Amino acid sequence: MPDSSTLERSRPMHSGSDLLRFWQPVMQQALFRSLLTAFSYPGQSVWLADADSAVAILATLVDAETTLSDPYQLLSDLTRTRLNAPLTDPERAGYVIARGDLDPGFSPRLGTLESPEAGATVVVIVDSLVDGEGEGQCWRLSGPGIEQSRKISVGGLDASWLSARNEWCSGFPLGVDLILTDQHRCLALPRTTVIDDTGAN
Amino acid sequence: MNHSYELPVDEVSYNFAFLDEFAKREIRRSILKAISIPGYQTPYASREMPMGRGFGTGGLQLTLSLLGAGDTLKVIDQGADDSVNAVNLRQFVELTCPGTSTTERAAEANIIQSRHRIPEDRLTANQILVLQVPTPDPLAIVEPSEARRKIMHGESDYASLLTKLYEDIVQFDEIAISNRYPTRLNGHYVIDSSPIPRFDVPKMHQSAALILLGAGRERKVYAVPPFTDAVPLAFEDVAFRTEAFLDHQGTRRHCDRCDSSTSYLDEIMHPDGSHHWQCSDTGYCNDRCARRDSAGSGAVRS
Amino acid sequence: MGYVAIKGGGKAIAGAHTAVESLRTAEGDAGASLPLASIEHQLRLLTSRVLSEGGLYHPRLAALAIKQMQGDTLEASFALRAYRSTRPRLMETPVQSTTDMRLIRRISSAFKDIPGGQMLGPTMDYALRLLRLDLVDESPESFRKVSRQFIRDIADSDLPDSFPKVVNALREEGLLPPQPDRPDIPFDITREPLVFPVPRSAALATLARAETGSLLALAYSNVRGYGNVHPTIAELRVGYVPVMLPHPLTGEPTEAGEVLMTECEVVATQESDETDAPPVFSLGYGACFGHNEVKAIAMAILDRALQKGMQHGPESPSEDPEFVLLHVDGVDSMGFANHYKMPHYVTFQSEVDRLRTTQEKDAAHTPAQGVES
Repeated sequence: MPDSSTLERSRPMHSGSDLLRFWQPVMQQALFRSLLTAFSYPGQSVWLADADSAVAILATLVDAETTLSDPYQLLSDLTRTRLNAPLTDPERAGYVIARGDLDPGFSPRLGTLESPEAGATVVVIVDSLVDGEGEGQCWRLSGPGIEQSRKISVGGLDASWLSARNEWCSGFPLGVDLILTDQHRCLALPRTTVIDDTGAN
Repeated sequence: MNHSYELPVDEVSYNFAFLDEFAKREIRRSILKAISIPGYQTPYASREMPMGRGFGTGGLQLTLSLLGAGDTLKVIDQGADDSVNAVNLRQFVELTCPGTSTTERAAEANIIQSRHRIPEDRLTANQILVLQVPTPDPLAIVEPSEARRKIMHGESDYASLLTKLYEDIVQFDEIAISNRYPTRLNGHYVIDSSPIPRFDVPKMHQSAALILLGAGRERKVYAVPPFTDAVPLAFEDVAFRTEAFLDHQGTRRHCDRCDSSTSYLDEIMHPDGSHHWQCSDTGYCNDRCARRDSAGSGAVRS
Repeated sequence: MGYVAIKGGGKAIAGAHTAVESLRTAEGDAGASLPLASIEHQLRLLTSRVLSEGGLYHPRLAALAIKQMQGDTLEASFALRAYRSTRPRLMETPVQSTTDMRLIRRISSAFKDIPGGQMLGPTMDYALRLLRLDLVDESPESFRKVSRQFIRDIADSDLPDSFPKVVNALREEGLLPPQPDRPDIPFDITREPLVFPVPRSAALATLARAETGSLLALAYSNVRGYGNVHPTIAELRVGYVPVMLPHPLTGEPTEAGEVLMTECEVVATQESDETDAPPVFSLGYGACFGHNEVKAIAMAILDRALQKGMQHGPESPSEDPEFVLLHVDGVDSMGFANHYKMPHYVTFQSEVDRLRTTQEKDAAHTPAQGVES
């Protein structure tokens, strides 16, 4: 987990112009297809970028027609300018970027019965994502997109996230869709995924 | 007004995949929400495409927002690659998406856009099926107001739809819905299965491939995620039945070309009044014919 | 015996294109390609219609679309819309003021005299609908003479100017409710799908792009009896509205160009609101790109009808927002009607299967008929 408050500032070698590549149409299409795989097969981690995968995710999904919340000030001013999304608090935003090592501490939008798609997408920064058993929280997943079940391990995620997420997603079709990402990869946990805690390693 | 005004050429040139990047991003966001809420008709701001509303613009917008270099696309209409509408859509993609390729073989395609059919051969996890949908809401036959339908869907309240099916049974001793059979996903939303025949509905159940359904005119996208339960609505005593293709003796008809007796068949009327039967999925049929011909067994009928 | 090979779709499409082009050029050696400027000016009302239904203000491209689609307004509007899908949005205008419109025509049927005066302008309302045979063989000389004569005779004082709006006078007198201090952020129908209930701005935007004939039919149904709007035209104006954009450097509003528009405001019978507020007239608003008075009037009537339906529940089809807004778009409705021409072999086969099954069951259940003696 980056200790600096700004995600990008922690690695000064990645200049702003380097991040601009995420907005190139060819890159946008490739990133989207990775996200599409992640959402189609929850828990399966997909490669996104050499670094700054959270910026890559937001660049693919967010623009002036969405709302964004960055309660931990993880994004640089330049990235915010490029995303061009109105900033709001995490209770009202369509897209939220959050630190996984801290208690979520907010209640995202869950949508309504008529419009469940208004439930937020929350991008959570973690340390590591492992298919199968590994460091950190170890979960068994089932539900749409998963043949039988799948085990994953997430490092650098505060234990309170699981109960908070399960609470948010307890009233389908209302809910929140999570994207967990380390620096390079991401996996998706749409609201339909059933998560069983198999204990921490 | 200025009479000497000339149209600059770049005013009538087009982007990769036709749509502008903002339009693609919005469709992409909607697709991810549609996958997250299986069967929910996610609204999106459908753009006008250069072919008619109703000719597959919903499916096409999904395909265009997916496609990138290295993708191989198959386009079928009524199961056929060479149906006029399939040709039209495929040519449009070839024109606007340089770097992608097209194929007529389902196994070679990683994206398949289809109208009215799901290919005979089982799709894999490396493939995405995009279906074109004219009328996405199965509740429209019992409730004209979309505002009320949205609440019914949210509450998974399909009592009025089941009543309609029941009335069919009373009247016809059979569920009279022929295609676009209402199908429940993951135990909650009931979808209009696009106008695929009942024959293809079971292929959606626990499909390894993602299935995306796009309705351009009605501005909706919905999804059957991979490995998701897709169960056609039915009653305990009146089962869901697929098209049987039985002749008068009750034997399963077979394709006159490739001899398949498990595929969905087109009925073809000849000028002499005789009826013949042939696979609707031409790619599947051609593959079988080619395999048989290369094996040297069986005469080619023509 | 031959089998139907479903091949040749590509060839058939190419053949169809050739056939369409051959009809466009059917005059043969006697013909010449229509210049876009001629379409834009001589068929200005057709161009207007396509501009507004296409939802893109580009008269030259509208003329191109009319030429390419051989005069089909639905298809030409459609081509403009499709072109619009490819253009990124670089900037959004703030709310524009039609008070600044440079008028070429404005009338009020509510007042004999209005500030600025009635101005008949270019209208065929009072022309006899007698075919003008002098246009059959109009020579280039006489054509140009008309134009030259007009420019020579026109006085500076006749040049288009802007006038105050009639409804503002009505507002000042308290006959119309005051305008809200801060207008709502307009709903963008090109970016957001209509999910009902929708705000009035969504309805207005949908009506502004709607097909003229569809609007007219629904508005006519309302005033004929399936509804109760009794409209009086407070003001109908046609003219050029300056489009103001913030200057990229200074942010100051700067005129970027102008668009020809038709605007209509109808005043209708007062609402019998149960609140204690004093009774006032209510306003129906219509506006569209280009010169299209029937569309602006029909839109104003429907806006008024829909406001009633939104507030008190619809009592007639033209007061039902879902009914009106989901059925007036020409591109949508034309597409759906046309799609029935596409092959439906698979679904039809499925229907035949259902019919045969129910017929067989029916035959099994029905006792054999007695033989007639």
